[in-house]
Amino acid sequence: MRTTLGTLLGSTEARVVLAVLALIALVDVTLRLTDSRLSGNLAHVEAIPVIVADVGRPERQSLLVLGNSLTNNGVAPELLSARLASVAVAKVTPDATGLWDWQCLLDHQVIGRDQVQFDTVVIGFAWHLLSDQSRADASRLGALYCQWGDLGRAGAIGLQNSGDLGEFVSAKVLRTYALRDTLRNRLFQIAVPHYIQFTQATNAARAGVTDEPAAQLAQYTYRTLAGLAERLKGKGTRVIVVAMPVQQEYEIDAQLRSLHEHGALELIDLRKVAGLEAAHFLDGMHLNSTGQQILSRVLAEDLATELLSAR
Amino acid sequence: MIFNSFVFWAFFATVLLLYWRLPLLGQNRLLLVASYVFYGYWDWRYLGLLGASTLVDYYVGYYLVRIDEQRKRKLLLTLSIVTNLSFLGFFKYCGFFVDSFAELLRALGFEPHLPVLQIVLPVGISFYTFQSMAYTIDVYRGVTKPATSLFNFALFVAYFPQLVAGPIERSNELLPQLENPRRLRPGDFAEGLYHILLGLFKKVIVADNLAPIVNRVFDTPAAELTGTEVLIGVYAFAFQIYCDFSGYSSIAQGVSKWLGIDLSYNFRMPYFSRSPSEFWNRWHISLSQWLRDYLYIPLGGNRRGPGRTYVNLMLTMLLGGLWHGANWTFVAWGAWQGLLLVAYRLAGTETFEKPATNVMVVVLQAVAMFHLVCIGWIFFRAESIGQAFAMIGALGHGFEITDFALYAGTLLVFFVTPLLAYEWYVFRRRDMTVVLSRPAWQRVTLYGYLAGMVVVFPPLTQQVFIYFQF
Repeated sequence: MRTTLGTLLGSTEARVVLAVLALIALVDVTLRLTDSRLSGNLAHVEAIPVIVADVGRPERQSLLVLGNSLTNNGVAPELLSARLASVAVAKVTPDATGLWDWQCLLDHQVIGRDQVQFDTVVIGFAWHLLSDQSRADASRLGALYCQWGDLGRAGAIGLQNSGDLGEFVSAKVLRTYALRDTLRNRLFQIAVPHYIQFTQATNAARAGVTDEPAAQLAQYTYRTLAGLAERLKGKGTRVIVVAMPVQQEYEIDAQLRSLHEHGALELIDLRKVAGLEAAHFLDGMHLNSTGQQILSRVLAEDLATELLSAR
Repeated sequence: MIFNSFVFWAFFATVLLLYWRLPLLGQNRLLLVASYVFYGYWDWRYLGLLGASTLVDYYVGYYLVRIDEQRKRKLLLTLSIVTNLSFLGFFKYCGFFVDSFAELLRALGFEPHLPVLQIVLPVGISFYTFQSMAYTIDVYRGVTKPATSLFNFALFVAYFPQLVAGPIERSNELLPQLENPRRLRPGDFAEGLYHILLGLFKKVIVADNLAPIVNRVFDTPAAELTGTEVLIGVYAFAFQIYCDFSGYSSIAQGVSKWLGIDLSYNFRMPYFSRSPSEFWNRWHISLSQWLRDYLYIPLGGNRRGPGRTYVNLMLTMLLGGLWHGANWTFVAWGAWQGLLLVAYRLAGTETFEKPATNVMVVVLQAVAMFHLVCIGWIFFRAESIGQAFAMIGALGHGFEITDFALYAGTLLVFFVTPLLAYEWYVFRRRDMTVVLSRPAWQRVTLYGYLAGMVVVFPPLTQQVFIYFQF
């Protein structure tokens, strides 16, 4: 075997391979040290442990608003704080995240940390984002939200196949790989005319093609969310899920309603909010600042009622 | 299991780790099992087809050298050819011919009630049936020895690096390598690594990043496209299909090299060709040589006068087109390639086959040839002959630079220019592995670029290899 390996790595080629690996490692280390400057979202992700620890102190009442850009655009934490006077509010809304990211994030940043205690976690969602059938981004999970140990329960964190496992491991090892979309977008936004416009169009076309048949066939289940709510309950944290308003109508899945009816979690339905109009949306999904104010006030009232009833 | 997937590399690492610890017999058994796992990972139900083709051709080869009577030998060869072509015909062409027949009947005023066939095409069937069939023909002709065992022959048919998309290897090249002890020679690792890195770059970076541009152009009605957009879409497809297929071949070559087995080159910078015949000596070489040896020459080749030569060329290219898929667009593509071969012959191809001394002349001839090839690609990629002609028509007008043309053109330049520059260098040096003789720092630069691109610029979604469908 030693002879074979010696042959495999002929001396010159060994130097070449090592030099390339060293080069990649150098770029990767540099990126790890500076990645929070690449985008506001990465800076936010990096700040999550601090945000969570600052607000989620056991000695006071606290509420964590969790979601993605839908919740980020839709919820103004200062309005919630103003209405829920004695409750400290933290907002954690990394872009393009969903159930699987939030599960890892809550497991490691809230449930697994003794010094962190939230009374309530509010999760904003639309469509089937909280269902077991929502697609995990293995690369993002590996790089940003999960830990090596999570590989032991690969299925439970949303990794469905060997490709997902490979993505997860590669992204965990190589920051450059994990952040490839960010790097690519940063470069192409500068160098390629109309990059955003046509990339969005391509993504929309692709989403239309790939998601529709699955959406028709899938029987949406919520086992992962139920387990997560159970673990949070074990730590004294109640879970409220909020169906967010988007321009396109959607149904709340039966199993999610069933979880609510059986007391596993609370459900606030804000798909239709009085006063919210098409003009309050930046696109099909995201609210503008006026829309955010309208929605936040309604949400604050609903949360106040929920919290009061819980007491 | 595809080369640009994590599962393949985990699979290959496991095979490689065991492989070099085993004696020849163990190596071959391991490779055979690995090859069947590789194929079965896609759909295990079609393993039977692979096995059936293997069994028939092995025993045909076995008896061909043991039977002297010419009539029986011909019968045996016919059995092999009919078996392989039946598999191919049923799975690949049955639906096409039924549909075409129904259309013909409708055109004649009938109302046919023919069955609708939804047959799944087994991946790689065109490649392994051609390879297996060539073996029996070669044994019949006495140009190759029959395999020494069924195991070795099964491995020859199913050898996983080239099973699903070639190169279509000849038995006298591949079988001896499988039947004799192998060892890694100095430089094998380097060469394998080079092929794999270059192949991954071509497939993952160039081909897959151009796919969305191509899809958008070919999914848009031609009337809504400007000439510039069609041109960019066609250029993008020319490089997508080249990099997709040659990338696969390159990875196959590299993977095989690490197993101590040489595969043939399937591509040699085809877009620098100056004539159609040169193009076919550089594009999908294993198929064009197969068509030449088992179709064109048996038809009479160029030995029966110019008229018959032209007919033979047309027939060969038409069938070559049909080999790619059961659609009239592929037939039209084959016809276009045949016409080009005939036209260049009529024009005196020897002018183009002489080594040119003036680089500018080479460039101009290559540019002209590239554009002729691109016209063929329109037929190849279009959904119908009508769409192909509409797109060719759209090339004639509206050359304004639209937003999409600017976007797609910039991406095309970004992904293709470095590859073209590198291939031009290799082309001029006439050495496919010239980089391996360059100083280490130059290899570090090249590999660093290739690896960096593969890490940072993979497309948003993974694409399968185009040639798997053929």
